[in-house]
Amino acid sequence: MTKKKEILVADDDPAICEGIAMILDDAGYAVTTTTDGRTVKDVQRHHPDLIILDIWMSGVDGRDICKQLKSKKQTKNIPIIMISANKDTEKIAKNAGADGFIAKPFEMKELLTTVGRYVL
Amino acid sequence: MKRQMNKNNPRPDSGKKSLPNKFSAIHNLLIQEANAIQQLATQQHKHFLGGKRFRNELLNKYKQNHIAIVVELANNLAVGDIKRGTNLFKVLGSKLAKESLHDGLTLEEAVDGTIFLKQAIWQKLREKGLLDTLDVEDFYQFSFAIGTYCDVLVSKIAFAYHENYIQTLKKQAQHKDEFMSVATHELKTPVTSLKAFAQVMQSRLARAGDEKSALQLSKMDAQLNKLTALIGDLLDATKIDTGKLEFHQGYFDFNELVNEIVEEMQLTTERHRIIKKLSATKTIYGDRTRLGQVMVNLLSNAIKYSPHGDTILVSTMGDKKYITCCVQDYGIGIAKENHSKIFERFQRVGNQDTFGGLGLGLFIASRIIQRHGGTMQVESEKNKGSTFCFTLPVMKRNLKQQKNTLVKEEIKHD
Repeated sequence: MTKKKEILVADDDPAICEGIAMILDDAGYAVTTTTDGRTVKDVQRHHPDLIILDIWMSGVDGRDICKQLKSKKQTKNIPIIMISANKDTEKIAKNAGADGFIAKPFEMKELLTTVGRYVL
Repeated sequence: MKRQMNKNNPRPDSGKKSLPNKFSAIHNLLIQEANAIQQLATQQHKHFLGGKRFRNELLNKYKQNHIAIVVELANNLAVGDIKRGTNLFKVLGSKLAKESLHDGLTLEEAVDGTIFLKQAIWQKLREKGLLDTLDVEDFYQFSFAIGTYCDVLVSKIAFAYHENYIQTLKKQAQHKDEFMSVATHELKTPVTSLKAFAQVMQSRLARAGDEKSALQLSKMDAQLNKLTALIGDLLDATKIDTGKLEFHQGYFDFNELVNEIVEEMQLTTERHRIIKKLSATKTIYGDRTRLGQVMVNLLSNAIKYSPHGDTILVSTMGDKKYITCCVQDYGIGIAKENHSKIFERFQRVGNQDTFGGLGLGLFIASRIIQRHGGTMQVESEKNKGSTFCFTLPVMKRNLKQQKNTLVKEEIKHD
């Protein structure tokens, strides 16, 4: 059996983390969640196959995290999908250098399609 | 206050020196009686100085200001210097307005001081018999100078208050915008997790063979979509107010959009059959998502307001310049007297007691059509049904000018 693809979900709302984790778990991914944006920087150690990153995380700006990860050699290849209820999510994700975006609230199919685009 | 005013008048006594003799008696009297004139004015000025709204410190400050105005009027009576005097009173007016705004005076309180002052001056001069010494020409010149200066003062104050009011409105609109943006974000957050749970549970139940529960959860998900749409409507209505509704325009196949929306809306109703009568494929220039929003609004209204009907007709037709799309239902209809009102905000098509809704849908839809340079019309008869049509201009392709416009707009939105 091949190793499950690992996805890190970072959102300051625990219910959203859990909801996304349930969907991805059912779809066969290995999911880790965090509600503390600051811990996302530690991904160097775990090196997930994809990060789903909220934009506003209680004092932590997802855009900064995205830029930081994309500027480091060790992490720049991890695909990042930014997720937000902001109307300009697409633009914000693009400007922060993210690979993709999902606007909240989203359809389950939409989440799985977007994730599937970056992890095979 | 007097010291400040003198700053604007490099030679404080120049007015006095250049003053023709004919006004010197008036000048002297005004200087001597400045206090008395202020008191006379105060007796009439019930709004501010006669009332109890302000503390003594503030009252004294404004009394001093008024005395200073009388002195300044006296110093600028020479008609030859009317231009210089006018400029001086403009500056003074702006300064007084700034002070009054800072101290929280209403416009009435701020200008009445000046208006009553003018009356008090006339009263005092008449009392002392000084007006009788002037001939007709001089009387006119004196009256012109006093009138002009006081008017300049009042209009400057009124203007500053008006500007301040406009600024306040702008700030309020900005706060409202910011609030709506935050509120929308906050409302969408719980909807996001609810939708995720509903959908994942639906798919788990479907896999476990519990079709009935799965269907119920899909209904829950559909309700959450309605909630999301309502949140979106609230934000859009606010953005229409402030002119900030975003548009992302481009060329697209209009019938394709209609097909998509009809298919989507057909899923929301079991009772109605949505029948399409579409003209030949037409590419138009506009915001596909926003026009889709208009179609969704018209179709959901048609479904909602025809609880006993079973057919809804969607048709498109067009020529080289325009495309028209109509949505017809056989529902409760709208009485003629209400036709003009339905595109207004908070107006609801049906009986308010039995049909819910925010009353924003048609308001937003009609504004979207207007922004596209189009029009929206309604034809309806009570108990027979309604037909809503919108007409949009079709922009020709292969025109350099329009291609440039398209590029520009795309850049602007990036």
